[in-house]
Amino acid sequence: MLLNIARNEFRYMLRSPQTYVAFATFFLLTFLATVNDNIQIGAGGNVSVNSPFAIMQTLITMNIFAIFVIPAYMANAILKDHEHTMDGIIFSTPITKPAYLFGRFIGAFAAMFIVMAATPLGMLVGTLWPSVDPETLAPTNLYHYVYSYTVFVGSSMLVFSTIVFAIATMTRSIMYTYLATMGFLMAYFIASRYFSEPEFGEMMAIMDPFLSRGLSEATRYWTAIERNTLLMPIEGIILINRLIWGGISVAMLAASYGLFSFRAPAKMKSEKEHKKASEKPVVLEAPRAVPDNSALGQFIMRTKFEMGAVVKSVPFLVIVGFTFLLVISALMNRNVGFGIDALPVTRLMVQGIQGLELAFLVLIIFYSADIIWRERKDGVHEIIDATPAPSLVFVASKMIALALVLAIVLVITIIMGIMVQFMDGADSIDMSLYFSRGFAHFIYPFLLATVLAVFVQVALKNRFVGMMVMVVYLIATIVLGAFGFEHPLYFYASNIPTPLSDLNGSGRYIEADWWLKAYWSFFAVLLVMMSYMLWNRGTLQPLRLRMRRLGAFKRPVAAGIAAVSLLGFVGTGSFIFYNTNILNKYLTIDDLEQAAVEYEARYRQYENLPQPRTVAVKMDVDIYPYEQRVDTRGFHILENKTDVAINTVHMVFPPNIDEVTRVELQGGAIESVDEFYKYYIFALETPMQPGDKRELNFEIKIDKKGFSHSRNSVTLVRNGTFINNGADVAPYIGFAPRGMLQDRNTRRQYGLEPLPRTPKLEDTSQYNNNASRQDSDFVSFETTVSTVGSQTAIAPGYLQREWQENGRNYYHYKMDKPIRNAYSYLSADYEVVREDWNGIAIEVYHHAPHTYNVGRMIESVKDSISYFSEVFSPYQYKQLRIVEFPAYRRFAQAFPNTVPYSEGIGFIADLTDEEDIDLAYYVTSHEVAHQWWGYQIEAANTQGATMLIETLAQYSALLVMEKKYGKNQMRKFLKFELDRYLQGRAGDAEGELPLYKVENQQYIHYRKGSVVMYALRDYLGEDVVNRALSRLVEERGFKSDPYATSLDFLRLIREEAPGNDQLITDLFERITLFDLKADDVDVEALGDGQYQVTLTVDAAKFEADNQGTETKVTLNDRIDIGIFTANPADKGFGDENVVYLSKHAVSADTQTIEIIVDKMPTHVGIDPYNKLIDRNSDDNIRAVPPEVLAALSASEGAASEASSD
Amino acid sequence: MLSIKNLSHTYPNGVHALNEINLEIPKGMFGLLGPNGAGKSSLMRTIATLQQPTTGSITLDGVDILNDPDSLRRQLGYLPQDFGVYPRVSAYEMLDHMAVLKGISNKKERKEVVEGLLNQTNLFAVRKKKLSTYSGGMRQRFGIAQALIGDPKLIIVDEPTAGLDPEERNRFHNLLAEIGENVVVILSTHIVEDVADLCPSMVIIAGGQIVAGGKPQALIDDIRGKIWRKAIERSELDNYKENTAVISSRLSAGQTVIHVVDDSEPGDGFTHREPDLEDVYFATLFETRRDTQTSQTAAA
Repeated sequence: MLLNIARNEFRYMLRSPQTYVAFATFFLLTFLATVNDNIQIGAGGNVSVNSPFAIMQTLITMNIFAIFVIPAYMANAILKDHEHTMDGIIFSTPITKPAYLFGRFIGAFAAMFIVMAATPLGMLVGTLWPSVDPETLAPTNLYHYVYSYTVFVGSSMLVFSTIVFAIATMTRSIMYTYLATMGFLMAYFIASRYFSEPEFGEMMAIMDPFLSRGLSEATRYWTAIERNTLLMPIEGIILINRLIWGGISVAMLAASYGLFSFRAPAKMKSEKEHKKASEKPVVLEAPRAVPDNSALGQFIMRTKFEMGAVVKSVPFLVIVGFTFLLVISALMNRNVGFGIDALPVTRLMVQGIQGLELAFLVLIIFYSADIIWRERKDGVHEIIDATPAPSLVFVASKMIALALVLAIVLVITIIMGIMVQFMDGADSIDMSLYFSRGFAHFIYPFLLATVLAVFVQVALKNRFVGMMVMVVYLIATIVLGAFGFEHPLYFYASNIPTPLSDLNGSGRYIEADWWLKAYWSFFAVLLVMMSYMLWNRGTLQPLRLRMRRLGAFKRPVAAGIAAVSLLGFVGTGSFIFYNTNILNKYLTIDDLEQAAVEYEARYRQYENLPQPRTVAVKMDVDIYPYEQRVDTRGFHILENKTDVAINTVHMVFPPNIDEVTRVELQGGAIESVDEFYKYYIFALETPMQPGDKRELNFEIKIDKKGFSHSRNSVTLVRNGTFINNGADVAPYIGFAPRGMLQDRNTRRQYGLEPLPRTPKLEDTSQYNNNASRQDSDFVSFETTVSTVGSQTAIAPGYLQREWQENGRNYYHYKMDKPIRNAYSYLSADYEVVREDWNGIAIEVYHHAPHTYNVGRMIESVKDSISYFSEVFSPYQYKQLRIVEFPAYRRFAQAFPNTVPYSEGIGFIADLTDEEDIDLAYYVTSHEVAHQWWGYQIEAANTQGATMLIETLAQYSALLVMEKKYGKNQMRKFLKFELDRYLQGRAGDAEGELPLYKVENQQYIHYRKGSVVMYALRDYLGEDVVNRALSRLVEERGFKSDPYATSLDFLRLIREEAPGNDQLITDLFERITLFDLKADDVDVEALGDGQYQVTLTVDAAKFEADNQGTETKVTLNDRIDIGIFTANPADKGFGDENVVYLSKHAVSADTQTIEIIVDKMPTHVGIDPYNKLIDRNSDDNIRAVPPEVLAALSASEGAASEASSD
Repeated sequence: MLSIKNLSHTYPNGVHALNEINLEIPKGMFGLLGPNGAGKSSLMRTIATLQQPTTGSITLDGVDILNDPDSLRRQLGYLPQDFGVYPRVSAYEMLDHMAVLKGISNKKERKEVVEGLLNQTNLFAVRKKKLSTYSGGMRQRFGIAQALIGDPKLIIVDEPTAGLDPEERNRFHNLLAEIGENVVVILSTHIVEDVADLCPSMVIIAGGQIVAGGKPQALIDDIRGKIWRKAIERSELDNYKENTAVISSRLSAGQTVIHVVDDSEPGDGFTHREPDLEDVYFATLFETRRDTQTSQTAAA
């Protein structure tokens, strides 16, 4: 009987409408994700699109969304009889309860399992699609799909099916089941977000029912090779996870069985008898009241009624409750890196409020259906629809009610934001920002979405289809952009990105965005009108029949409003089009790629043409921040530094330039001009002989008009302009390689060979080129810059003169020494903090309210300059300026004696907790170090260049930080660095390289660099390393002939530390990984306060190739063994807790290490400070087992008793 | 007053719910009698502007209500055959809600209307109870109360007495009769007595068509002398059905009593029966069925 029921259920479910919808949706989702190379789940880099990892990742991720499908099958299986009031008939048949219950369960689950196979199927078909780049594919292996789908997806689906089944049995309501599902999903998202830090990794991996975190934890450090070949085995935490959820499943099934009864419980009459039954009506018989049709009164009453119905419904409370949790956690969690939070400035609160987005979309999609179908669902539609209240009253009240509900939720959220600000000690609360960005601008797109959702629900005959249409619309808005449909004019409720900054507020972005909002609002008016005309009164009628009622547009008032809206729609649309397509070029990502391909085709032939180099730079730059305009006049001197005569000079002006007004090269005539790429070729009347110099004069303009559909400038803004020579104001001499497509996959699509990231270290021809630009070496620099009267403009150099003219501020800056050809201009309304220190002018230019960390920055500048001057070489300038720029970009960047510094990182970091890493201090020190590593030493344009620049800056900053904050802060810092390095390895598209050959790979030159240099110093001593660095500056400082390479550094360090060849090779020239583990520890009291510690270790050493394939190598290294009275990972750990710390020779044979100490230890570890690169750095420390500790204390007590005798 | 011309309705699945209905409905009570599925509710919903007919026209006092449904809705009181309620809403609240929707915006006036109607329908004592807890009869009375809000000129009541006990039914009939003096009341039912008791004019509807119509007495007069009655054994029923025009059979004191229509006396123990409206109804239905069968046979 059970099988019979299961078979029937299976057939029923397979043929039900949700099957088609679910199959189509999930098939398309994975199919599109696979076909479109802009969307990548799990793949990317060297990891194939159909690698087992990508398959697991895709299927597991999709499965999270499949949770919405589960109730459609599992809840329906148990509730459909009840819903269709067939229960009385079915339950009185002689079916047994287990057969009924489990038959239904098995049948529905089997159907769902078959249907959801759309996910792997979509992916599989996607990989066979001809448009997919075959290079990104591995051979098809069906087993990977089958394994991932059945083992991971199947098991999770089974878990949820039992849960949903149980909830449905319990609540007997499909609605509550959906709700509980939704609640579960939101709780899941909140938990994932809240516990996203690595320290929660294991816990979350065990708890995550979808195995999403499990997958990321288990494969966290997997290399490309492993991702391409391995399937995640069911073992360890994954096994525990499955066992736990398996147990929950069984419990849920048992609960369903226990709770289910064929006899539905009789409804309790909870209503109390009303006592005032004796009350009399005001009249005994109704008077003949004549209707007067107050539509406004009807509207107000209906709106209140609908709002009440939404607000009092359980789903609403569940969704909003969960959302508040989510938003509060977002408001309180303002991570800016290294575990540091930002201060609660209103801007961040407003950004945190955007965490409501998901909930708002869910509310709109769900409640638009609920609210529109309410009368029909409750069966009152015939009564209500026969009243003379106009359809507009119903439609408008429903829309407005939904909008008001959203507004109420938003206002409550804003109040929460204000409360968080009070709690976390904000010093000012910007109510106008809350209103403009937190409220008005935020809610607007949701109001538009509400109108659309209501229209869709009115137009369609089925609420579920309506909800699906809305979901598809949402997905389309996200996905279609990736297919080249970028223009906001054809996406309902589209927007123009409106980033926020404290310095620049909403800038001009928001004005452009309001135009779009106006445009869609006019359209929305038409939707509202169509909604009430199509409003279905009485019997449900097909849209085809209702369309006749659109004739109501002919009535004068309706026609008037429609005409105005249409006019407004077309008018604002034209204005937007004028801005995006006429004032600005409408270029999609595809267009830009195409242009880059064309550029390469036309001009790459000149790549190796001998060209002169810029040797002197004089610039006049006029910044008009309110007009998006920069006028530049440049006077450069070019010199032929080659040993051949030069006949033609090529130059490319940066793409941001709108107009090249004039360009003159001494003794040269323009041979060709390419307006699009701004590529100029000059023919020289008399060739430039080696050593010849020529003047270059040019006048160029950035003159942006209106707004663009995307890519609105974040550099040239009203307050906080930050432009530089490379991108904005000066030409590149010769063919500029930056104009070519860089990404190797994109290049392959256009049939182009990949570009080398950097030339090989052995390529001596590049030793005379520097890594940042190859058209110049060191240049003399002088500039005049002007800006509006309310702002200060800053460029590298010493201020010679400042004056006012025509209400504008002028500044003349000049450098007394040649600099690398990198300079920037900043202009904003700044406060300045100045300090004269040992003849060096330290200045911090900041946005007035951002005073919080200025003191730390100045201190860091002093500490850094003083230390670096002492150990490396003297500081070459007499000033150092830190200049704040808007948070649109989050980095700090060193220019000669000037450091632009984003407001998004150090300026508003909350550094009040002394245990935290001092982010402002660290970043400042790193940038100051670049005055040495980058501006004294410039690296040759080869592999390893960024090791000289970034790794050494990291090292320098580490030293200064350690001096101030101590070794234990460093442990914390290095653990962050190690973790990010190990994660970075996996995502590298072209493969990892040893540090000395790093190709501008951030995870190597910053993250691994920190760890390696710290270890180097630890092994060789600080003096040795610093001496090598100081010699490096001595040898190669300010030299371009040739520039320094990583080989210079390695040579010097080897000279300074003879006999450490192996160590240096391991650290710099190989990808070396350790696997160190403290296996076990035993402590024995020897009496006299002596303890013998026996540590059992497990140690191995590997070398990886650039794909991540590891080979075991002989381990024979000196490794830290530490004995402590506290866990070094804990807060409050200090030097006093270190009992023993010394290096021991460890080889693969080493199994136990015995040490005698004079304090009772609690923790013992191998490489306890994570100085070495260890694939699992969490198992290096082992606590002394409690029973051993207990025995020790006991014997100690006994010993002391004995001695006191 | 209410005039229906050539009204037809075909559902998207091809079912002809209404077929060329032509009706003139005067002031007063008008009965619409027919078996389940005859198209009564379709017709009612169409008149109540809740359903667009495929073809045909309906005018009320000369106003085309298909083009201007609002003019009818302003004068309409409608009690559907089957209706639900909002959850968690009391009778008073719902009636007040309906009164606003019917356009009674004056608060005091609305209070009088609502309380008066609650009193008239004997619901005043339970006005604060949630409608969802009402029994079938109470809910039906509530339905009538809401239909009467706003002094409607046209009242449509679809199967109103279903679920009412005799006393309630009586009270309801009185209420309707009183109202029916000045306005059009269309009463749709499959219970012959309702029509017999209340309606001065009526039609019988079957298979989406009007098969008979007029004053009840005139209809009865038409078949007087053609209805014959006989008490038979149950086992003989099939035999009689084959050989005579049995229009109805029912049990009476253990015996089966059949009514037969025949222009002349059939003999064989049949006795004359003074016809009532029920006989008219059954005879009409019988003839309709026979006509369809004949036409089908002819077609075959």
